[in-house]
Amino acid sequence: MAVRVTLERVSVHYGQRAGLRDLTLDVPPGEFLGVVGPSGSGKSTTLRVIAGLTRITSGRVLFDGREVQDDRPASRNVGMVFQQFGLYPRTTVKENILLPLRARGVDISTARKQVASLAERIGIETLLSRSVEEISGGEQQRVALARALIRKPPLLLLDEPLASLDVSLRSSLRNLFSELHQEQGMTVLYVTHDPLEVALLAQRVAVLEAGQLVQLGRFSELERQPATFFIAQHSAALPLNVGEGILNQELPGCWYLQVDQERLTLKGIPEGVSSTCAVSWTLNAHAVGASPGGTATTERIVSMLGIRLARIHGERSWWAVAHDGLTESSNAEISIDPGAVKLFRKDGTAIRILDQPNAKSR
Amino acid sequence: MRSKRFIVGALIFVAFAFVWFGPAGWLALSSFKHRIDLLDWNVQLKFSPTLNNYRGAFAHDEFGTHFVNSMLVATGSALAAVIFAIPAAFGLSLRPGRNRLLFLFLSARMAPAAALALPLFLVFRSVGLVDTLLGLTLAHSGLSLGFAVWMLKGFFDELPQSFVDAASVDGLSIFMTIRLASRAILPGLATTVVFSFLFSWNEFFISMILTGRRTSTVPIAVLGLVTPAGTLWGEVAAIATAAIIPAIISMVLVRGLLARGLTFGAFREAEWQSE
Repeated sequence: MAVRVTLERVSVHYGQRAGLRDLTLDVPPGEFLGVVGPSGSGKSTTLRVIAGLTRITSGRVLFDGREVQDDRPASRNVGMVFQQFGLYPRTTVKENILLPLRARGVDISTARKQVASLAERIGIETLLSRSVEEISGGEQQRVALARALIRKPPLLLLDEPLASLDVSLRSSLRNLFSELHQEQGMTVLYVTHDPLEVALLAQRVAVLEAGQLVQLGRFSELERQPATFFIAQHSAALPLNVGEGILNQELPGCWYLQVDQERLTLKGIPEGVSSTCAVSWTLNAHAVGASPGGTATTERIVSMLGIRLARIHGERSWWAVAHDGLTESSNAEISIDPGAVKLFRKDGTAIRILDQPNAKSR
Repeated sequence: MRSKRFIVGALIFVAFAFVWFGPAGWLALSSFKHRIDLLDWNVQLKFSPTLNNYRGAFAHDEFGTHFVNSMLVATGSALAAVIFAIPAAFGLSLRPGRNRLLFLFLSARMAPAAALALPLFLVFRSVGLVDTLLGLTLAHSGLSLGFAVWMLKGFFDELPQSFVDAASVDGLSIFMTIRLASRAILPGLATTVVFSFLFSWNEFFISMILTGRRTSTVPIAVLGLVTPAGTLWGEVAAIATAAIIPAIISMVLVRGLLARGLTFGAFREAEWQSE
């Protein structure tokens, strides 16, 4: 059971400040959508609007094509998990999970059976009689998840549910979210700051900035062609090289990026750029190679996601893929794939490189 | 160095304790003295103790009745004030920025008792509530209400926003939400009851206006011991000593509850994230 969630030109204003600006988003039934963005970008506001906890200033919110923006939260049949869990203090785990059913008039024996069954699935069956203050953060989040799922909602909203948990707990709960989504097939909107979480969980990712949707697509698309500087920074699985440089035209149709003394010839023409301009750039570590020799120094070598990476100090610091034979404290030479460089204007929007012929690094 | 500091600290503590508890101790001692010893202005620690003052107060001056009256009025008014304050405080907490309304609640406590006494007396007389325990209970609960709302709002403010959000999404009725919220701030609730109880227990002026001989409370009963023939200091001391006991019990309770109540904020930040 899943629902299609559609936001049509939704705006939310808090006094003079805009929380969301003309946000349009369509989430098909059963999709696991990641929602990311910097602080204050409107991620949580989007979930609150869908849940009915925040009133919209204009626009429409539709569930399966039916307008719900004026419906109360309870009548939307949405499950929601909060970053701070939102458990009811001084109650037991069982009471917490039972309450949404009791509020809907489910008789106590049926409700207890449902709670026992779900608690077993989520792995909290031994905690049912404990007070919520007595259990750990990870257990509290499982309880919050059970409470959100007990009504079998067709839509589950997860607002940074792992933000206050440690790494090992994150991993186990991430798996649980994924399994439950597979089993129950509900639509899920998952707000997070962590690119790893969206990469592992979400089928598509919506990126919000300043209350607007700036990119929507698969994580790999975001990584390959980020629409903004923020997305480039947050969609990289490996460490990212970031800097500022000057975009120059050497000959008509031949552009290069000046980074310190390095000149990177682009494999195409930067869209919408007609003259020399200052830009921000990013380069994934896997587009930079470090081999023995040269004048730079290898500060340290680490292994991430099975890749041997080197931190190189030269005119600037680089994260690069370490070639065989490169050791810590040894000299290193950097080679860059100019085709992988991503350029951004000062306002953070991406500069697309059109028609990429041959290019070289000098 | 450390022991020197300890000694200085202890001396300061003893000095403060003497200033605070000296009069109370003197009062308690006086309640066991004969009239002749009481009127001796020299401080006498050696005297032959007597229970005559207590016998007099309880037997002849119906102190027991006044004590029961005080207990009923203070308990009833504290509970009523808190029961009415809970929804008001929760509502004010949900809708921040309504401080004017909160001030309105508190203003009843700011007005001098004399300014309230006459209107209260006239209204209560017209509905037959003068010289009744119910009337005094209502008056005291009304006076405590502002303070109770203000205090409970502070505790409700400590509840995380996600609590209210979760209740909305889960479809809990407003009554269920308030019940859960009250349960969450239980130490704060109990503390408010104790403070409201103490206010009523010690209240004098309104009680004097609204009660008669049959319904008067302990503070009014003491007034009756000031007679044309002189003040019955022994009985005054006995009644004051007995009346101070519930207040002391309340303060001990409140001390423990406040410590638990005030750590409630930390529950939100630390305990909920503890692992």
